[in-house]
Amino acid sequence: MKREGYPAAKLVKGEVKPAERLKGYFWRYRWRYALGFLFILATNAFATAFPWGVQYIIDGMRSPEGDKKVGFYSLVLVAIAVGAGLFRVFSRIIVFNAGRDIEYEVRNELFDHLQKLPPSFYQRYPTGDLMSRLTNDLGSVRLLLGPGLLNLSNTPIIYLMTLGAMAWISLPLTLCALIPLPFFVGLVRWWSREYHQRSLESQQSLARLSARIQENLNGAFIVKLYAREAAEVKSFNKHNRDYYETNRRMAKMSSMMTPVVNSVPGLGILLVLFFGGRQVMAEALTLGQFVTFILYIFNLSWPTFILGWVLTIYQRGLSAMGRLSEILDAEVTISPGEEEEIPMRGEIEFRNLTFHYPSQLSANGSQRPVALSEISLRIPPGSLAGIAGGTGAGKSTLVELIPHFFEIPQGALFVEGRDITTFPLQTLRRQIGYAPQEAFLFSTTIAENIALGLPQVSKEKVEWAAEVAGIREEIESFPMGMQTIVGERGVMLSGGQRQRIALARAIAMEPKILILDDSLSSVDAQTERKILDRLKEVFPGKTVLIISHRLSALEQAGMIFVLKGGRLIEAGTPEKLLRQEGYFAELARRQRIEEELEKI
Amino acid sequence: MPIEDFHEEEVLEGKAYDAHLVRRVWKYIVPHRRIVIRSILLLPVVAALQILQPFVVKEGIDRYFHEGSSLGLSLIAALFFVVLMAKVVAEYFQLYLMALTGQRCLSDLRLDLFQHVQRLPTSFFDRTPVGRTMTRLTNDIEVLSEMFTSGVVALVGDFVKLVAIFVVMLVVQWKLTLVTFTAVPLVWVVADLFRKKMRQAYRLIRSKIARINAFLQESITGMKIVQLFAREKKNLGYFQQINEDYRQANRMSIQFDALLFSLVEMIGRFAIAMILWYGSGLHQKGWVTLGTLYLFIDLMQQFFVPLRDLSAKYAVLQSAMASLERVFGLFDEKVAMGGTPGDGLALRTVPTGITFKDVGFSYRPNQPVLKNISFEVRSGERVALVGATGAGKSSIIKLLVRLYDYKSGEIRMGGRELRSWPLEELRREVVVVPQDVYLFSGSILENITLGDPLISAEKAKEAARVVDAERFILNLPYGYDYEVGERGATLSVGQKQLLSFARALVRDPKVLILDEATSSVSPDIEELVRQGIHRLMERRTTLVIAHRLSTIRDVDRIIVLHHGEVREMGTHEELLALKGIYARLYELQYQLQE
Repeated sequence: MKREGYPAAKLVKGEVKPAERLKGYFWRYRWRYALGFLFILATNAFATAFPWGVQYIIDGMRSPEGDKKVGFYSLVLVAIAVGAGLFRVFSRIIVFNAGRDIEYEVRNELFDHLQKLPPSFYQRYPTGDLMSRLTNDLGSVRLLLGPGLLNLSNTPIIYLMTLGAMAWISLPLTLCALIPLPFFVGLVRWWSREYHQRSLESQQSLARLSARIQENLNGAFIVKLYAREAAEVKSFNKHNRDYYETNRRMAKMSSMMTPVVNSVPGLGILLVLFFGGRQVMAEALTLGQFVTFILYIFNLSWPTFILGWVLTIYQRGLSAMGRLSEILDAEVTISPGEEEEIPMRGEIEFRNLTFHYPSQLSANGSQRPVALSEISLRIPPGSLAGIAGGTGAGKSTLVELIPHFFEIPQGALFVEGRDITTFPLQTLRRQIGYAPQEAFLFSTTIAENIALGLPQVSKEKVEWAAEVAGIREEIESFPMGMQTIVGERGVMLSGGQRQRIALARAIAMEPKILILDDSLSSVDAQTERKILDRLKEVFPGKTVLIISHRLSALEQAGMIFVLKGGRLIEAGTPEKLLRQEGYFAELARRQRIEEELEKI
Repeated sequence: MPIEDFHEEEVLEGKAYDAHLVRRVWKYIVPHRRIVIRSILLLPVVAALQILQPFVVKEGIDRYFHEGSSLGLSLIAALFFVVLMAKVVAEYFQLYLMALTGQRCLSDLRLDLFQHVQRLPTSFFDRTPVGRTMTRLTNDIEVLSEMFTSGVVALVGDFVKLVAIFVVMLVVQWKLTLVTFTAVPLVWVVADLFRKKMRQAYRLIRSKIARINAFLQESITGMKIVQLFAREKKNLGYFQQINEDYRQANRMSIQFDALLFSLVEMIGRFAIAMILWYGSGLHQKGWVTLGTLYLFIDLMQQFFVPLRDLSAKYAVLQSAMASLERVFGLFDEKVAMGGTPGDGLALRTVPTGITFKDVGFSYRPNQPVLKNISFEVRSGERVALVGATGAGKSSIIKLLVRLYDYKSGEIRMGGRELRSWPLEELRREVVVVPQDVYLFSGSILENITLGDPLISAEKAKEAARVVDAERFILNLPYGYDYEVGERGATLSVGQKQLLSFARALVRDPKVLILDEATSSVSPDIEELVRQGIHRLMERRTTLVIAHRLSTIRDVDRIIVLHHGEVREMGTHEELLALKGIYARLYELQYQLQE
């Protein structure tokens, strides 16, 4: 069925179910899992053969001539132990590695996909949330596909083989040994229900406690100002006590599991002792067989013990996969398109563009504030255009649309006469240098930061770009120069230095279009002036867009576009706009006062 | 953009035991020592009952299998059942008591830590993301609970069991024991060899995953730049490479882990083969019974069980230690300076003039925010602070309620040095109405009283009435009992402001500090807010960071701050006539409101 009219902001397709996805990964590695399975089979064949050998030795001891055979059988036992060990090593390596390999693939897949997702996605998923998915949830999936699957296949194999061997010796005795099993199953079911209930209560209590803590920390300021510390501690402790109480109730249940599970082989031994003992007396069963029976019961205890764990791992892995699927299924709303050579001169045109942020829904749900409305303007190639307006006028939004950073409607924005929704994304972005006000630097060397948009770090280009951005000398005065590491672990840069490095990054690309989004706000007016002059010198004939609060920066523009409340209200040369005594002239007047204030 | 540092958290050295940390936890265990001791006393009981089981079987084999005594066999089986059940009960109580201790300690620890956090200085909250402190108080303490249930005590229990098994075997048949245990030193040698290798491998794994997480974190926060600079392919390449490094590091540990697990199991089987081979010789000589051989095989099985999940327990301890380190790291944060105890003089009873004398302050060294600030506010006077952004207005407020302490100069209030007033008393009498209103989840009433038992509901309502907040409150469903959602999302900005005025007024402070909100409110509320502010300031020493022209005109005097200095002082008219900074600020900030 063809469905039409998908809303543009739709994020989650939810087409692939988590379990299906898991199966997909499993299927991709099916041969390795199959091999692992074979090895598990072999391991358990040896493990089952071992008690069988014990039987021969013990029975041999009781016969006079068996003495000689004991040595031989002991060696056989050693050989079996070695065989079991060898296959065990390989089965674990094969299956665990498959889990790790899938983890590796999924992690790459996630990262690849994340890089394609639009800003609206990142508004919905905070960094901490994504990090937790990529670490904790991926870990749970890996646990399921590695140790989880191993034990999941191990358990039935051991049960089948061991019970088969036991039945071979004596079917009635095997059935006797299994008497406690139904009770045990019933007990476990009761237990898991109770435990689940209590752990749910505990989780809920923890959630309340966490909410309380979070609120207290967010309101730390007001708590201090109103000296509410004591009251806060009191209210915290109420939740803390409650949480303790739920945990205590949970401990009552959880402490039960280990002793009960541990007693299962004991019960089996008890029954073998009682019924088997009679058979031994009646000489229907040899003593060797009796001991072997008990050894088999031991063999069963570990897989029984681990079964609960495996089920938890399975549940957890499945829901974790669900959370990862949410990322993997998030729609790539800005499709990259095929890269192609498009000669660019730097022409930009907005045609009656109206834009609102896709995910910004106000609290009551429906109304989305319009960020830009009915913008029409043309910036000819090679021109220096200024964009002015107050805070929240939509200046940044306007320039961020040019590299197609947000989803926008068709037919509204053209670069080189081509609708940017059909412009190959990488081709477009490679030609646009962008320097934001909030300079984001990565914690690597300054050189790497500047060379971010280049195919590789080129010393000459980096130095040249730093020089144009007026930061080269300062960087070179650092002991490590361009190799200085930026960030918490490295040098602490001032706001102005960061901004100029970010500018150098945009310059280094030698783009056709350069966007300066108030990117020199922390630099003094004189330095800004110098940098802009230098830019004109090295970039003749390139399109430059400047957003600035400084009049001195805008005055150099050939054309200024003035925004207010998302609308274009004035446009023209600086001289014309100043003469006009409209909004721009008012902004300019305020700016002049501010500059005067600065100087006082 | 603050980057929460995953790197640092992951790279912490993974010790499994740190005496210093354990000593600090010990403090929390001591009060519950009676439960702990009971639990520990049960450990040998559990071990004994465990070992007793194969003994019973041995007796059955040796005594009754030959005789063919059916009654004897039934008695033995009954005895076995009793031992088994006794062990279930003993083990249950042992585990439960230990888990109980854990929960009690953690509850105490959590409370202590929360109390500690309440006393931390403002600077701590400035530099620490809320999420990180949250993690300390929740996840990190959760991890510790495992330390109690399957960590230290479980290890001790295992150790007791191992020693007991060895001793019992020695007593029963020392020759057979020694021969059997020739395989055991092999376990130690192998385990020790692997432990070193594993530690290396784990260290490598941790550093690789830390790199992945740091890179991920940065890529997500800087995704805008990554995308705009068309950096995706290169970043993916780099990511694949560090991901591959991580995979390789894991491969190594998987190999060691698989080898160790299988070797321990194999050696266990060797031991049984040894028992049978050597034991059969002894049996022929009539030195051991078949029942004893059974006993040895059974005990040997039990001996190797705890060795199997040793590495899992090691990992539990390791992560517990890392959590402990982080938890106590938070404990080591220095608490805020408490006030000196009063000498009977109460701030309530003295005139509350404020004097700043040459006060200097900076958040970071060499970046002074306030320089030589001197001014005086007489008791009952209303003074406005004005200045451009970053002029130092809010810093003055923060110093006055001692969210920070000044570095030089002197602040006096009520004729005494500010620091000599007890902190709680100071903050009771000096009430700040902050710019952004923070509402706690709870009822409207609770948001006015803020849980202060001294404030009655009547007084709170009276205050709401005075600032004209009652009108909108009574229009809400349930009125004063209306539950405010997280961050007060359901109330308008203006309503929140009125609520915040009521909150301040009900405390009837001697000094009011008002940081006026810049955000505009609807015209009808605007008038209410204006009147509310007026009522708040009545008969109080007031310091206000003014954004409203009406407020500016309401005050007695204006202090103009510029670049961290007091530059002008006087009444509105005087300052305008001066044609200095104030005149320009007025033009920028207030004139448009006319």
